[in-house]
Amino acid sequence: MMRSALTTRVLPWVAPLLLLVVWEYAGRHTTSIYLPPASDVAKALREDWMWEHTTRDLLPSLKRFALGYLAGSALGILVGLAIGSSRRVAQYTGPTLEFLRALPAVAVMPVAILLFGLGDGMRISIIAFGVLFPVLVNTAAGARSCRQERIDVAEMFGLSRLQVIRRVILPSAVPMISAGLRVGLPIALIMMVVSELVGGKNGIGFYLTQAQSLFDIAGMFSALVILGVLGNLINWLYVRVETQQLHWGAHL
Amino acid sequence: MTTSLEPTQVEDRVPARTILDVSELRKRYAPDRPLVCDGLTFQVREGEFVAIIGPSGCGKSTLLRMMSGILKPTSGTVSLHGRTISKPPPEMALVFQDYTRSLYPWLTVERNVRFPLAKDKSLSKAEKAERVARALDNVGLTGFESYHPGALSGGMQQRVSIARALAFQPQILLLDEPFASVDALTKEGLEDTLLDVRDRMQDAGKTMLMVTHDIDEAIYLADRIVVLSKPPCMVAEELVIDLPKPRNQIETRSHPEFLRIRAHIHDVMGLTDQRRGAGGSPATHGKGH
Repeated sequence: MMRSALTTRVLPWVAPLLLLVVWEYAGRHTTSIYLPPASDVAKALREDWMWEHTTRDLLPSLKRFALGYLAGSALGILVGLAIGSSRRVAQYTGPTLEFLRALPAVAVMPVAILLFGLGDGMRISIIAFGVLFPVLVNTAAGARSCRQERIDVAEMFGLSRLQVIRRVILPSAVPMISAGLRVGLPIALIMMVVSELVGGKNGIGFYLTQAQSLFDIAGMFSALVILGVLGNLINWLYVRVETQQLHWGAHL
Repeated sequence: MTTSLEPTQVEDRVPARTILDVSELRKRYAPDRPLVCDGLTFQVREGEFVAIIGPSGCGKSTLLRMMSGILKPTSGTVSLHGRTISKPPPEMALVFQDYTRSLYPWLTVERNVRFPLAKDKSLSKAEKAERVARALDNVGLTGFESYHPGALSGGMQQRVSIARALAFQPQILLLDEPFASVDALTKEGLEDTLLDVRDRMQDAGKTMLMVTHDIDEAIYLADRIVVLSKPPCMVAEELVIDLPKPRNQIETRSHPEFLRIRAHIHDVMGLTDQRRGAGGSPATHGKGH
């Protein structure tokens, strides 16, 4: 009994704690300024992120993240649904989408800067572009895999093509869409930071570049900690909602 | 007890009016593929329970999909009340063999059964709820409204899909091997549920057309059996089943007529020949139509 509690509850914390201890020890005994001890980073976390830079940088970042993620997801679901439920649409759009999909979102950034300038429009559209394809591809695959019987039943009951898409094909694609949305989360986070590295006025990415250029190495690490926590938190929330809502997915 | 075992002139025996008319139906999925159905012709009369049986892979499901308007025939017509069917008519509902694929797992039982009524604006909310409740009561599923199909047994899921078809209140219920995916005991229960439901329905709703490969099931349930040949399928024979009603799993199935019809259909389908070998009678694979 004690043993199993020990292994499940305590063991996962051993490695991170050990890492912190080593970090702290190494940081105190090195002459390099590039490795501040963990306690300095903790201090930076307290001083910078409670709450001055949370409101000045984190919240604007989260806003861009949310808008870009929503825009990219919505577009991905719409286009993916059209492609997945109509062979003709798939034939028309296939090669174009394959080409666009192969482009790394980061590489599109210069184009986005030309189109939207250095403002939020550029950042949000870059995040949306990064999220678009995983969601689109998953949605199309999910829609395509809808059982013919389910569509036949709906047609027997007199539903129109649009009603069939909305009431049968879309819901049966939801587990796949959800997988795409989950893949899109870390991509959106990456694109959020990357888009803020250039010409920004605020945001976590902006904070990172500022700290780096001011040799505030502890501050730089604190931003990384914030990003790590943020990424984990978002994923944890997502998985919670998903398991709650998609309990029927196994019966598809 | 005058069940004819010869190809029957059914027209003389059942006075009711023809509701479905299948005429010279042919289907080829692609020009380079073989014929699936080759000139099927038969009628279904109002209030009748017709079972269509044939060897597995003979095109039964193709036939049913054409009759329900979701699949276009290569040639020939299906008419309902004299009008040719070109898209799924509102008078029909279809129950599929594979309930796991035809129910909507993201909806509760209640919302699955309400699904066909959702776009019907002529019904009030209360009327829809009433219909759903009645349909669920008919198949013995009252109390399971808030379950998701995945939480139910196979037999119960198939009851849900029958209830869904009933809620639609079709004039004709089409059943595609409805009990092929459940165990033998559950199957008997479902067969009797179907007969009960039929007894309780209004005249117009009594017409049922079932496709099956199960000879016993067909004899037990049907008023008339259409036997199909090996692919490409044609009507090999039509038989009227005069077994007494109400039917009963024990008595009906041990009735001498039941056994005779059963043996006869085996003959028609060429099943007996294989066992009897060279000594069997070769003259049984007649095309009765």
